[in-house]
Parts: sequence; C-alpha cells; structure tokens
Amino acid sequence: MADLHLGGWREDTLREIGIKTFEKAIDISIQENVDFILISGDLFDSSNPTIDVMAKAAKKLYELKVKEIPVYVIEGSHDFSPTGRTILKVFHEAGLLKRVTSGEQTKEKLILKGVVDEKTKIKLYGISGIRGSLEKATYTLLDRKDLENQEGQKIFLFHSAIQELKPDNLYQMESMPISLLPKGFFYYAGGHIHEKGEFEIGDYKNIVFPGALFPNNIDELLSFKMGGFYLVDYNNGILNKKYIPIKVAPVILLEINLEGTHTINVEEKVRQAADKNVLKDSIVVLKFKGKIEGSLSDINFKKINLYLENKGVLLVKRDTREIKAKEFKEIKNSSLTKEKLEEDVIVRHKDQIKIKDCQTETVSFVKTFMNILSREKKEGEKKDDYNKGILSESIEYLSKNNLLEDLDETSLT
Amino acid sequence: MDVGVVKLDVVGKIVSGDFSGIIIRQKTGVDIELGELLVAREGNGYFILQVFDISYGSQIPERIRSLAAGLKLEEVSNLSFLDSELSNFILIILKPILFVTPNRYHLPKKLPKFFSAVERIKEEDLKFLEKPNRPLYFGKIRSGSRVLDIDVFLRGDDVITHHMLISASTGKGKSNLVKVLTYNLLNETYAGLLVIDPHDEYYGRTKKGLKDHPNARNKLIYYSTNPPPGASTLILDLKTIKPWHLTGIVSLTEAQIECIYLFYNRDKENWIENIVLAEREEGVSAVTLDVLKRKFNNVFGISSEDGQISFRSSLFSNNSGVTTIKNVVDNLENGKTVIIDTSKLGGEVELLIGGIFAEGIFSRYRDLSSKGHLQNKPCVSIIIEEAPRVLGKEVLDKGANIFGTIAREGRKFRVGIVAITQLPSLIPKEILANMNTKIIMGTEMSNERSALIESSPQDISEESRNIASLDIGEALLTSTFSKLAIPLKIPLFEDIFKDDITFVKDRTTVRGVDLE
Repeated sequence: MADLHLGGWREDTLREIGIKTFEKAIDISIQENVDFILISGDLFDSSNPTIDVMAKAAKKLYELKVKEIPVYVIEGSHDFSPTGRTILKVFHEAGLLKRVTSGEQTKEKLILKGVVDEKTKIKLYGISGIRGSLEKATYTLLDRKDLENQEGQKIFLFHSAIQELKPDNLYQMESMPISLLPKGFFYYAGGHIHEKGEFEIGDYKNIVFPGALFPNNIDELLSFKMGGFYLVDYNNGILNKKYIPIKVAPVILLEINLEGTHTINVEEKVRQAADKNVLKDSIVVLKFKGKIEGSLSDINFKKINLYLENKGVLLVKRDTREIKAKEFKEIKNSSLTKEKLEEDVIVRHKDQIKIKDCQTETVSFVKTFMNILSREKKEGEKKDDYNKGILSESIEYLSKNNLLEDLDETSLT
Repeated sequence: MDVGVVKLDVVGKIVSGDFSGIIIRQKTGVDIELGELLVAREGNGYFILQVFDISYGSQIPERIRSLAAGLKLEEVSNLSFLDSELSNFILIILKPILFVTPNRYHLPKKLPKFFSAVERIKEEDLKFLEKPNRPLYFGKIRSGSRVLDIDVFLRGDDVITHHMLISASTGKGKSNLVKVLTYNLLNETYAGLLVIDPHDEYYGRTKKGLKDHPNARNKLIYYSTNPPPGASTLILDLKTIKPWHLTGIVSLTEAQIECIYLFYNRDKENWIENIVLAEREEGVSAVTLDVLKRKFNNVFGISSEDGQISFRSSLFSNNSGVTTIKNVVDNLENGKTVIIDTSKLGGEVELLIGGIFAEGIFSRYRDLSSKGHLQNKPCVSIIIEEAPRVLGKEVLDKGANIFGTIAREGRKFRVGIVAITQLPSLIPKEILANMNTKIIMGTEMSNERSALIESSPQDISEESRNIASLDIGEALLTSTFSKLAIPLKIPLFEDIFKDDITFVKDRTTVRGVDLE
C-alpha cells in the first residue's frame, strides 16, 4: 500500500475515515495472513503528525508486531524531513516498522544495504520520496549494478512519479525515467501517484502503484471514490496481484446544474437532487456548475449542509469551481492540494515571467527558488545563521543561473 | 608604396579581367589554392576576393615552349629560358565577394584598381564579422585549406526558423557538423531542438557526445527504446496516436484511410486497438480490414491474440507512455534538446515516430500563435537525416506529410527543419529554395552540385569545382542571413572537449537514504 496520508484531511470526519480505512486494510492483511506489508511512502501526511493520529497508527502497527507481520516502509514526499526527525524513525526505533532505506556512499556511488525479510528471505530496498522530487538526484548516484547482481528475490520500494508511467492528467508532474531504477527486481512497489496502476516496461516487470489508500482531496474523491491496496501472492515463481478496494463510507456525487438559477432557489435544487438518493453514512460531494443569478455569497450553504446531515450524511464537500457569477472572475484550478495549486499557478503564469539568460527552464527555476526560500529553520540553528544561509543559497542559485547581475533588469509583466 | 619595392605578403597583382573574373598574376614562389581568400586594399577599404580558378600564363609563344620541352625530354640539353620566372607564371582567377570599409561591408559594385597588389587574407581583415545575438556557431573561416582563427556565427533563430540544408557525400563530415551545431546550441536558450537520430550517434552512449556538455543535465533529453540509466524510454501509448500521424508516412489506400476515420470518429482514442480486434465492420470490406491489421502489425507491432491486443514491440503500449508526446513537446517548448534514438526502429516506424513529435510541436506552436503567445517562445528545429525519405519529390507526390508542411509553413510558427542529405536533387525545387541556409560539404556528383548552386541564396555559380574539391570537414555556408558565401572549416567534435575543460560536475547530495 502507499499514500495513506494519515492525518491529512482538514475535516475531522474525513481524517477519521482515512484512519479507519488504514485500520481496515491492516485487519484484512491480518485476516489474509500476509507475510509482510509494504508501505511505499506517505504513511502520514506530515513528518510530525498529531498525537491522535500517531497513537491510532501505533496501535494498529503494534497489532501487526504482535502477529509477527513486519511492515517495511520508506518515507514519502509528505512524511520525509531533511532533518531526519520523522515519526517513521521513531516507529522504526520502537520496532513498529522497518525502514528499508539504509545505504552507504562511496566516492562515486551509492550502495543500498536493504533489509532481508526473515521469513521469506526476500530482500527489500528502497529510496524515500522528497518534496519537489529531489530524490531523483540520489538515483543518479545509485549503484544499480550492485543491486542487480544481488542474488535472490528482490523488491524495490520507491515514492516517485515515473515519467513513462504517469497518467495523462499528471503529465506536468516532476518525474524520473524508469531507467534510474535497478532492473530485474521481481516487484516494484511504487508510491506518490494516487491513481492505481500495474505496469511492465522492458526489463521492469510488476511495477505496481496501489494508489492512495483513501482519496486525499476533493478531485480524488470525485474520480476514485475510494482507495485500496494490493494483495500479492508469490508462489513457485508465479506472482498474482489482487487489488483490494476499501470502502469505509461511500462517496456520492450530486451534480447540481445552476444555469439560470437564482441563488434563493439553490437550496431547493439541492434538496431535489438529495431526495433521489440514499445518503445515509455517505460522503456527499456537491458539484455545482452553471451561471447563477445573484451572488455566490447569497447561497446558504450552512442550511444545505444541515439538510444533508439530517439525512444521515457523514460529511458534505462542495465544489463550486464551475459556478459562474457576475462578480466572480474564473480561476481554473484542477486540484486543491497546495503543491498542485502552486504548480498550476506557476505554469499558468510562466509566460508572463521574463528571466533574462536564465539557465533553467522557468517552472523548474521558480519551484526550486521557492523551495530555497521556504526552507524551515533547523532545530538549534540560530536565526542569524538561518537568514544568512537562505541569503547565500539564494545568491548561489541566482548566480548559477546568471541572474545576479541582471537582477535590476528582471521584469515582471 | 615605392615603385619597385614589393611588400613581403603580396601574392600577386591584378593584370586583367572583369566582374565575372579578376585575373591576377601569382608571385613566383607563392602557392595559391582554389577557394582561397585574398585581399586587395584601396584607400581606407579593401576588397575580399576568392579564388575560383587557376591557369598557366607565359610570354613565350606556345610553339617555342613546346619545342623547349621537347628538347629537354628527347635530348640532353641545358637549354633554359632567360628570366624564366618572369616569362612563365601562374594566373589566378578571382571573384570579388565583399568590399569592407571601417564603417560597413557590402557586395562590391566596382573593380579594384588595375595592377593593385593582392595579399593573403589575415584574421584582422575579417574582424568585422561579429558574433550576433542568439548566435549559432558553424565553425571557423577557411581560406583554401588554411584555417583562420575567426569563428563563424549567424543569428540562430533566423537561421533555424528559415530551415537549413546540410548536404554532403558519404564521409565528408555531416555527422561531425551536426554534433558541433547541436553541442553549441546547448549553450543557448533561444532554441529547442528535436534530433531524430537513426544511428544513435549524437547522445554519446559509448563515447563522447552531447551528454558530456556542461548543460546536458538541464537541457538534454534522450529517448531510446533501450535507454541507459537516467535516459527516458521511448514508449508511446497507442491512445495518443492519431490517424493524421500516419498521413504521408505509412502508405495507405483511400479505402484504408476511410476505414481508419470510421473507427476514429466512433471509437476515438481506441481506434487502433478496435481495428486490430475487429472481426468485421459494416461498410468496410474484409480485405481492407485484413490489410490494415497487417499494416498495423508491421508498424505498431500489434496483433489480436484470443481477443486481446498482443504487443510484439516495446515501442507501443496500451498503458505506458501516455504522456511521452506531451513531455517531448513541452521540452522543446522550453528550449531543450530532445534526441530520439531510432536506431532500433524500421525506416517507416522511425519516420512515424519523428512525424508524431514533429506534428506535436507544430500543432502546439500553431495554437500558441493563434492565441498570440508565440512571441517569447524559443524557436524549434527538427533535424531529420536522409531527408528525401520525407521531403523527396516522389514521397510528396503520394501525399503531404508533416515534414513537408513544416518546410512550407513552419517559418510562420517558428518551427524549422534541418534537412540532411547526400541527394539534394531529390527534394523539390520550391522546398530546396525554402531552405534559406545551406551548408554544402564535399559533393562529387555534378547534378547534386547543380541543385545546390541553383537554390543557393548567394550566387555560387562559380563554386562548382570548389564544392567538388572540398575535403572532410570543409564546407561552404550560404545563407540569406549572410552577405557572402563563407568557406568553413568545421572543428572536430572531439577537439571541442579539449577547449571545454573548465566544466566541473557539482557533487550530488544524497537524500532519501540513511547513510551509514
């Protein structure tokens, strides 16, 4: 499994459903008597989740420990921290899970040490994912031959988008070519892409992205409705993969066409749509579209929510992106995650940015520069040193791109 | 200059001729070569002249010369001519190509003065050739076989969008020239480059290549069906292939085209799979369907097995490579160089792949142009080897293809072609004339030379002999964007690295692994 993002939703109900989905996945794994569990990154939504979320995860992981089912993990772009202080490290030290990302750097190469599963003797290796796909550079140092020459059955865990395997809607997502992975492993457990997929490409067989265990944002709720994980059976050289979808609460989409509707009639339109469905214990996504008469702020969403909650709905999410009102200027955003939103905004406006003689492509330049500027203060780092550090990294990056001298000439139009 | 005192670097004096050929008498002891550049100074300016023919001259009647030669050959004779060096000499025929003053240079509209002294050209005489903005590097100026330390640049975006032709016989250095051009373009941000590489020779998989450029990490993308670590796999999802990608590249009858569009209009992105899986189709004859299935088997390597699509080649897939076309086009739009290794693909498939990407960038730029967003975009050049395969008269007579469209209309949308060929005569005249910059290397066949000379932006009608005698790495650059046809020496690609030793790779930081 991958991309659980425990603790990720802002709404308590959805956050809770995310955790329940995880608990259900673990229960199924125990029932199926699995040899081990792989989590290919983003078990948590941050490297430092809330106590509540940690406690619930720890309880479930402890159940697995008692049943002697090891859990092998790598960090993902959300639960990785450059300081190394992550909850996964704590859980690793506590024996609740095992990180498979140990390695050794020689002068030229990176040699992965990996972990051997005691019961099956399968070797597990992995590289964590990092925000901005910075792990790509690590792969360029990887001693692939060393890994490929290792005998026995091997599994590789990664948390990166693979260029050749990206779905169409994520075509602008930072990714790396598959040729950076070592060849000849019998299973490649992928994370980071929230859409499930099974692939085979050249010498790379059984590349599996289980997708998010539970949708992580409104778009995923609308497209996937639910998430799941893979149950993989390997016997006598034959590998069978079975996708196990997990539905804790059904996601029901109510599309409400408001074309020509006055705001005072919106509530009635929602009622009509809601009354045609059984909504008890479900997550309802209200997707509005069309040009309304009046102002969006005149719609009493509180009252609409209350009506649906009285029908037993667990949570109401609304998508008003396709409502057009006179006083609204349309902003097209295909996703609401912070990173995607940021990237969308940069991509949309990149043609307006003129950076003279920049050595790097505009989107990549802006993202990298934003990353430099948004580095958090390390623990124990003095404020002065932190400021100086940010300044010198910025100068170094600008100068590397031939931008320092032309700073005054840089114009934003 | 005092009468009777001859400057040491004078190689001859003008003795006769006209605008089509100025004749100088060569100074004794000096060797002047075909193609050499000479200078005749006048006032505060100077003419640049180029040698296009050489002949003998003598003041002794031919009858006497023959007799003297016979005596020397047939009998022992000490006979010699009085003042032999004055009586017998070499005549050099020159073409005036430029007149240079301190303020400007232009095509000459007058002749140098009678009896003017003529010198070999020096580097200082060519200092007026400045490096333009957005430069495209071609090599060094050559005078005969002597190489001058003057770099030749033209304004790159002009040259690229107005198409280029590289013509040469086998072994004259075409590949080296393309490597030099593309390597230097990696220093620039004004152009994206799509290189269809049928010999896998530009990336440098096993030896030095474009991958060794200091900017390669950020600016070079390499696609191959068998990629080395870090390179991208050349794989395309069948759903991203459109019927028009086949036009003019895969040979199809009217009935087959109709069948294709019948499926495409109904099944959209699944049209290829559904044709291959179809048992029969109303309105389509069984023969047409069977022939199409066979063609798709050859081109895409797909067939139907137990009602499922079976893939013979790793080039096409039904779930991988969904974003390949978009990613390649994005990279070109961002001014990157994309090399497509087609060395493992058959001719038709190679052209299909090249055509798909070419169509992708052409459509993107046409759309950007219609929205008025093209102005700040890098121009894009598509390098295609053995160009007559897609731009030849015979091919184009059978139906238009994307390369022909780009050759005719690409300039408006900032997309150009670099056509490489040994046989320029196979390309229609109107397309050849559209190639506004030509790099002509050694070409022995006279009909090929004629095709080049007739379509050259400059008058190089006297250069036929010169072109035939060009050695490996020597070339003649003719361009709408140059006032003169420039004799070139292309540096060896391997030598570029000797000059580029300042590049030190950054140390990569390991992240995402717990180092022991």
